Amino acid sequence: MNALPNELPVELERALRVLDAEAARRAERVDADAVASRVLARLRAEAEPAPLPRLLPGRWALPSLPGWVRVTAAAAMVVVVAGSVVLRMIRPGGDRAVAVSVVAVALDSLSAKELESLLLVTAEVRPVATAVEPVSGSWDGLSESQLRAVLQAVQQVQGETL
Amino acid sequence: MGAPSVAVADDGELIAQYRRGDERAAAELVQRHTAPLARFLAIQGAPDDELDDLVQDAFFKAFRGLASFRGGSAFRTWLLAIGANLLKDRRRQWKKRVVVELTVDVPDRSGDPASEAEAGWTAERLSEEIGRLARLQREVFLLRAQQGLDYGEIARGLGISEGSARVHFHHAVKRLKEKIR
Repeated sequence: MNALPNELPVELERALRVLDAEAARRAERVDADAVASRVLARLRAEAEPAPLPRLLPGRWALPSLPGWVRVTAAAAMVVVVAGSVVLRMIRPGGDRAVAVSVVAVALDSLSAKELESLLLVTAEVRPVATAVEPVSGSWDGLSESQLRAVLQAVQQVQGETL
Repeated sequence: MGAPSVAVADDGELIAQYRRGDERAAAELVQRHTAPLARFLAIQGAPDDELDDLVQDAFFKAFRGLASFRGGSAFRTWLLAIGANLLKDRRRQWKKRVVVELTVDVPDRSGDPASEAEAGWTAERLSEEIGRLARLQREVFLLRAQQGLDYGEIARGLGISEGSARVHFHHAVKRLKEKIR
């Protein structure tokens, strides 16, 4: 005990001395080495960065999409590529065909949102692609909407040419 | 010619070394202050089976909070204050448990069994009364009477004025004196 003399009444000082001796005896049981190693281990554990939750299971966000989206994306790519080829045939050097080709090349790195935008573009291209199909086949087999698409495509080309 | 003197780093230097990543400095601080901290907690009635954990938690909290340690007080005073806070929090959890009873072993100096028994009784009574003191009174009293700190250091450690520390000590002594009479 470190109390200064004359600061405590004798009786109080004596009782405190007895009490402190008991506290010191109990304190001796605490192993300072063990405390140090446990404290340092806790500090080390806390300092380690917590593992980040894996938001992306693979290289791309694409594999986390449902299967039907992936199939649709593949189909969209086929349509886009076919559409770009057809557009080149109809309008050689056209800006739109070139732009579509670029989109197709970069398809495997698209996010879900970009893929969605691509599907919208595909929706625009599909009638043209369908319309050109009869060139190598029979006109009799075309539906009304396909024939309308062909007509629209021809009118568009004629309008741009004139 | 005597042995070359070995420079002993003070607490401030050890803290700086630890902040630079030297874990041995932290271990040295633990070695230095474990016994006084454990004694400070034990005299306030920390149970034996909790003492080790309390000491460990106090050091962990101290090292983790070193950024907030401005060095206004000594590291030990700061550590003791952290220990006292932890003890206060744990007391709430121990409310339903049997509070440790210090079985006081009084060394037989006088050979007088009556005197020995009386000293033991008084010490036990003192233990109870220390536990009943208001928190600041208890901490100031023990920091002064048990740990031997001066009022300025106590004041800095507990974030109170030196005058306030003196008043708390005075009231604690007065009350304890009355109770163990």
